[in-house]
Amino acid sequence: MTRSGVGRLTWWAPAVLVLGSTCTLINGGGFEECATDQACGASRVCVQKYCLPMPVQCRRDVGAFDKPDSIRIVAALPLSEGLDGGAVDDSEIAGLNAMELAIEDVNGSGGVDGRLFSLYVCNTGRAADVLVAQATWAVRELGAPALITSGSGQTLAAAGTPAVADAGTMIISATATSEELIGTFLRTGTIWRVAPPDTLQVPVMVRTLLAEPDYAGSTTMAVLYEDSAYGRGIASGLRERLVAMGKSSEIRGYLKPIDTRQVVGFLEAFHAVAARPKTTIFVGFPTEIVPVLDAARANPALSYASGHRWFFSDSAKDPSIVTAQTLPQLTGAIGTTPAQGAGTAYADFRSRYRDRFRIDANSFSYTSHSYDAAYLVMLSAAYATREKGALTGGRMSEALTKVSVGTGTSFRLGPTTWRDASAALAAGRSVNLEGTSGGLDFDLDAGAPSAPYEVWQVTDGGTFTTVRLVTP
Amino acid sequence: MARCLAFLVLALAGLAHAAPNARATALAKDAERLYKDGQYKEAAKLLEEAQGLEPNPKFLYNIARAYDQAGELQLALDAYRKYVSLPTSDSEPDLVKKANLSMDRLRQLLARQEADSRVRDAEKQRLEKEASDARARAEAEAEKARRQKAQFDAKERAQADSQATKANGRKVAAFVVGGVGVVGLALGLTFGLLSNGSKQAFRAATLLSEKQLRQTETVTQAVVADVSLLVGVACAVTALILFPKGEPEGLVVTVAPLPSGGALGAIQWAF
Repeated sequence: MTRSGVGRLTWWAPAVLVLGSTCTLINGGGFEECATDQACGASRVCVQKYCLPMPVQCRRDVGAFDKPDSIRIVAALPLSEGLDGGAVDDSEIAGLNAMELAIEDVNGSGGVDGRLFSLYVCNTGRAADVLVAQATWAVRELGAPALITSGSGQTLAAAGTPAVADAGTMIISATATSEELIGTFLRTGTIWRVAPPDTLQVPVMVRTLLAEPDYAGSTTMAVLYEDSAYGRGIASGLRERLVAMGKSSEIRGYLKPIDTRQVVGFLEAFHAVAARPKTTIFVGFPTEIVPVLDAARANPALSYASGHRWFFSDSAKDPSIVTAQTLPQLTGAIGTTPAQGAGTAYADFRSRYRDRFRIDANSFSYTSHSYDAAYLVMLSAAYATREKGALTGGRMSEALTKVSVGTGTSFRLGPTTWRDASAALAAGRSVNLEGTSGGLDFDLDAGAPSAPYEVWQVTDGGTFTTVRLVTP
Repeated sequence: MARCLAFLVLALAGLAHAAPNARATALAKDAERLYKDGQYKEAAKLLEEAQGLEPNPKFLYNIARAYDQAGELQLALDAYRKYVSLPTSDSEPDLVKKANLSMDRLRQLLARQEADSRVRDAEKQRLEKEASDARARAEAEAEKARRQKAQFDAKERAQADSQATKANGRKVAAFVVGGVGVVGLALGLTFGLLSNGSKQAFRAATLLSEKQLRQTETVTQAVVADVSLLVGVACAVTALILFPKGEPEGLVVTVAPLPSGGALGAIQWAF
């Protein structure tokens, strides 16, 4: 081996060579990938300075994504039927709009001690497994202390998600009304609803059926319901009351996708020999209501002329149920839903909502409830972070026990009252909140307020009108 | 010349005075000739031989004279003393007188010679003593030098042995520390690569817990790699310092230029 060459090194050379070759392998730093979501691109979020991918159906919606200390709220909503191009649920979109309005109102008012809110939205496609995955991500990865859900089944699925249960994440739903949720609330203390439970809606529905001339004389009443927590809860309540009243009734549940012919066949057989008027109470959603009504319109036993009337629950109040084919049967049809216009704050909300989204909030059932749900989450955050407390679901839930106990200062939810209301809660004082959906007098044995109901009706123009408000 | 003449006359007169012996006469003549030629001692010998053959006061006096001329002072004095000790009948007053004068002179000369001899002897003894002393000193110094040299040699050997022992110890220590250094560098390289892999896994992680786990893993491995590399380099440098210096011994790295413009490195152990 030659020793001639450019240079000759001795002992220390190998060390220097090895050190030189390995120094690039030392990875003591470079772990901070981001400070805000914006640094992570559109499909990822910044969590503890790491960029983490969001689930496919989740996205950043509105809020302070350019702030490192924003308070994160996740709304897991069934924005469409399924995830493969299913029909968009306009009612959920309307509710999401209301949440966005609430976030903008609060952020515009300064948030909580300068910390603004960010809303992340996940489309569950109304699939429970998808929702569970999204909720798990929201809690474990994003660190969201609160989830906003929609519908009783989805809310129950979220409550049963291990990650959510382990973290004590606060769940609030604008649209869930099933009485099944009462037990869950009593067990966990973290599952809240803005709309009153169906245990209150069923009596309102029965009272309305008895009071409205088109329905009052019905001796046969079919109950067609979606076989879900929501549908089963209302259907079983209705059956008990209808039987008690001596009505001839039959209940029939259906699963998705609905078998229209079978459902119509059942209704035809049930109503074929019934005397006028005859009523079908449809506890379902527009995606099932429209095809059933379309199929039923040509059936003599189910036609308007035959004296058949449709009666709906809250989930049906959606402009999408009104089509050229369904309008003849829907004209004059009545339904009930938790009141939107019961509160004094509603008018202002409705106006601002229309200005912002060019949509009438009154066209859907739970628009104002969605605004209130988001607002309540943010108020809860203000309470939880008082005295530098931890922003946990448990502490946020504790805030709602301070709401509307009747002895506190009254506030109407809206952008102008945020500072005072949040300051009062942050100071640990009780408050009496007047939501856009009505009074938010939470029943701590149910996790939901006891609020008025609205009796709505489809006009001959295909719009919705409020007949009256009913207190349960 | 006057002395020669006197010696001749006396010799011949002696021969004339005594019963002549041919051999003695011949010896006397030869002695006379030698005397004239300045060969006084030979002449004295011949006269002694002639005296032995034919005792003659003249021969005796001439023997004294010849030895006197030859510088044999004691022999000459002995011969004069014999001559003056002869019965007055056998000696001549004039010669006796001369003999006494010569004896006085000779005695002085001998005394001086003896004194000189004593001085010389003393000087000789002094010189011999000095030489002896010098030799003794030289020997002592030589002995001292030998002892010093022996001590120096012993010290040198001890030092050399010590250095050799120390060098061996340092060599062993250098190899041990160098081994630790190699292990450290290998560990550093290994954990550096592991850390790099964990960093890639960190980047690919999609869950918070996985990110945190991979970060911890990466940092831990990086720390181990850093420490190992530092220990490795420190040990390598220490081994370099510890290793005894000398003709290229140990690891030699050569770098040779390649035609492409790059360089080819090679590592070689040399013992």
